[in-house]
Amino acid sequence: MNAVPRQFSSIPQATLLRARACVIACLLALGSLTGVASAEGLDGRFEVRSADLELKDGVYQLNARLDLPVGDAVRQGLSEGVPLKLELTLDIERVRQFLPNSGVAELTQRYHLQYNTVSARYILRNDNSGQQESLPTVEAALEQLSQVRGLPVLDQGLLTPGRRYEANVRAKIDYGAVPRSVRLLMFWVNEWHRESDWYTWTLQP
Amino acid sequence: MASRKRLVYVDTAALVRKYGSTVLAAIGIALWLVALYLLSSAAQNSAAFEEWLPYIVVINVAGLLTLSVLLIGKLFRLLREYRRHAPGSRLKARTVAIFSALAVAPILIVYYFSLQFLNRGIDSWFELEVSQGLKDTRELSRAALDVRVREFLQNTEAVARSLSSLPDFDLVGPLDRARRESTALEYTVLGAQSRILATSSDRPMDAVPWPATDEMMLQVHRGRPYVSLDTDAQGGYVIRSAAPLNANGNPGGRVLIAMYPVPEQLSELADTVQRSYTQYATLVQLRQPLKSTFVLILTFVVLLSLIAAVYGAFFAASRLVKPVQDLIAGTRAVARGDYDTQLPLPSRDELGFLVTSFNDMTKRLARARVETRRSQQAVEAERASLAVILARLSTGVVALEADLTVRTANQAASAILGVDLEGVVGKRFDETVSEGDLYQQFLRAVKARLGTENMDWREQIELLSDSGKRVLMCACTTLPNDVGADSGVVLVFDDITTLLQAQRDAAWGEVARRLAHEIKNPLTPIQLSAERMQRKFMGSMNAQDAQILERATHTIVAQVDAMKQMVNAFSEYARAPELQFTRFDLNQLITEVVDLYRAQDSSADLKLQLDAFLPEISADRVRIRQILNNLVTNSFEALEGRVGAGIEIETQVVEDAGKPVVAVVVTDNGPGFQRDLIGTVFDPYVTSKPKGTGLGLAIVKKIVEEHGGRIEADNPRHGGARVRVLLPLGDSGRLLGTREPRKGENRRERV
Repeated sequence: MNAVPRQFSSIPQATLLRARACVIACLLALGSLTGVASAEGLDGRFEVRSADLELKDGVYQLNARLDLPVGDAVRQGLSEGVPLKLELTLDIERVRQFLPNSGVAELTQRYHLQYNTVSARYILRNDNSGQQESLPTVEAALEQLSQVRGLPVLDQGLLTPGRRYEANVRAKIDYGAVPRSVRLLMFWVNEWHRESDWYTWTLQP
Repeated sequence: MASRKRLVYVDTAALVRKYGSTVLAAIGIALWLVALYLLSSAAQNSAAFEEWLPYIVVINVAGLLTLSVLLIGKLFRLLREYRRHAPGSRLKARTVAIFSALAVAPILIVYYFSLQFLNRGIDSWFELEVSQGLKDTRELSRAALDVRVREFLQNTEAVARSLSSLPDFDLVGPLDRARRESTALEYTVLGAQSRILATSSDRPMDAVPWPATDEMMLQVHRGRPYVSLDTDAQGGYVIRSAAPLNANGNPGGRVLIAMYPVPEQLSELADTVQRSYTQYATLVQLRQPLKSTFVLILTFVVLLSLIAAVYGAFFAASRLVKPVQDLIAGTRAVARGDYDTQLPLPSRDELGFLVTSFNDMTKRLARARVETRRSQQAVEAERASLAVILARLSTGVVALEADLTVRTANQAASAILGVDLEGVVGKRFDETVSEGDLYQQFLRAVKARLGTENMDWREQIELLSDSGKRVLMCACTTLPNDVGADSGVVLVFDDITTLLQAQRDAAWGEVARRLAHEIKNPLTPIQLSAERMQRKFMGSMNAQDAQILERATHTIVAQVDAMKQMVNAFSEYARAPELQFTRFDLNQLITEVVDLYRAQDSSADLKLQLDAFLPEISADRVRIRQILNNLVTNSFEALEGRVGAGIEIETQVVEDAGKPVVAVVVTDNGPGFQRDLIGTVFDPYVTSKPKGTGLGLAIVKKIVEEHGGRIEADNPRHGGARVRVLLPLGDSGRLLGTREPRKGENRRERV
């Protein structure tokens, strides 16, 4: 104790106390922030597990399978009426040897899943076509949402036989209606919006 | 112009240095406040501010960081000054601490309660009553619809039973009839593989009936009727039901699918319930993010407010402490002696009054210092002039402190006492030890008086030196002191030997003149009377008487002659003849005189040591010859009967009182002057020789003084007597430029 320099010991005790109080207040604020931020939302793996283009009656149809980041909290939220939006983007590019790839077609398909509390049904709506589907359970609704079957995307004539093309599929998911400003403010909380990586495969008609 | 530009530049730089950080901080705080306002708006209305939000956040964070860096810098600076014990640092630290505490404590309290209100306020939105109310509403809606749903299902089952017996091709008519009889929107009968067997719709334009879902078909094929409340694409509600045509259950058999409308009012109510429920669910989901956002914004505001408050505390403390720091620095400067310190006037408050008083004080101090310096300079000048006067004074002055330490002594004192008195300055006068014989005698004489109480005295002190008796008139006076304390004494003494000698000489001159006048006149009649008496009575006397008379008259005449000679000598001494100054070579005159003596008397060895560069002097040649004659005669008489007697005459040019003079030194190896007579050898009638008249050296001295010279007599340490005559060069004396030896002149002559 004797080794403590005199100038340190001569600092007013009030200053030290005040500094300590400030630090504790900051820590409390930080703690409350992190505590509040631990809201339950999207959780888990989100990716395009598989995708392919199938030629049927002269039209390429997209089949895709997604892993959705929905856990129990999201399922609970869905059952309470929180909407879930899915956006599927398909991008087909012609592969060029020395030049950057050139875009051939781009398609964005949006789906909207929401529970109707009056009918106790899950309504899955295709925002592009306006078609909707009524599903009895959240599992059925999520299963329906996670797979795309026979979505016509491209006419066969748009692809030149013998050429090589690259198809990319990516999905974005939005849970709830959290404003973007709030999402930006709480940028470290990744629970309301996710984007998958591009799923890419080569296509050669 | 250049200097003016330079001045402007310096002023601008000083202004930037002085107010730069403050202005920056003010701009930063203003920007930050605007950003905070935008941020709070953004949290409430995302659409308008989403685009700006990243920038707002960046500005806020940058502002926060900038302010934090500024604050940390100020904190470190304050800590450094505090440790260094810089003037005003403790006061500043205390002021900052108080201001910060005053500013921070309310902010923290507000922050704490704001957090509480925020959490509780948002939570209160989602109170159980609201949630339960919504649930009850939902249940009520469902119950209201369930009645219809069940009615429609029963209706569908009834229609299905009525159609079950009909063949596929005969279904259309009964089906259409049944639809028209009911409120159904559409009836469709599906066969195997979900093939449409018959359909009837109130929307004839819709060619395609509503599709059956897998769920529906699966349930019906299991033999259970299906009914559900669905929404259509327009947002309205419809009731869909399905029932097998074969009541016994026939998987893969025909199925009646019916779609009934929900009344518009009921549909709208259901839609409202659904919207409310959805909004509530969304709000529930937003609860935590909103809380987090609000807490984040609040924390941002509080943090920045805290930092701004502490920064403001620093600013206020600096403003408050600055005059105090200036005062401390000014006081230190004054303590160092810098009285020209003037402090800038901070304001017209109490501190300003203090600073003004300080400035007035320093002005007065500066004025007082100037006056003191001026007085000091005057005193110094006075002292310097006094020192000059003392130095030029022929009177010796020795000033003593109260403890008899020698304070000062002038050159005349040193010259009179024959020692360098500068060496004893600072020492006690009665403890100084000096080699000087005269000084020791003087010290002994003075010591006896300094010990007495009466320090104001005047006394004649006689000292014995090699050149004779020296008489000093010494006066001691107590130095005055302002406070009346004993501040020392001053000894003033003068060598009055010469004065006394002059007085004696004058007295002897008067005696000689009177003797010449009173005695010489009767001598001639006495002589004549004796000679006449001899001539007259010589012839009439017998031989014996005549012989007696002759002897007597002869004695009278001889004694009268002797008396005449003596009176003539006195007359010569008393006479003040007209000097005939001519320029002549002293060496040559000495040589002539010596040659004469060499021719007459060879009892002593006469040696000459003459300066070959001796200039001609302007003097009375006859009188100078008399000086030489007297001195040589005196030496011969002193050496009479001595074996190896020798006389040396030396000439040289020496400095006396800063002027070149010719010195003629006559030295013999005789018995020397008697020590008790050495101070009076130049007085008349002072002689140690049996035949001397006692006027020889007195006449010599008189002639020397008539020429403006000086004469000294002493006994050299190796024995004998030495007389030193110093003669001024006169007008013709030219030392420089005539330093060539003259032809035929012997530099050293031996006889």
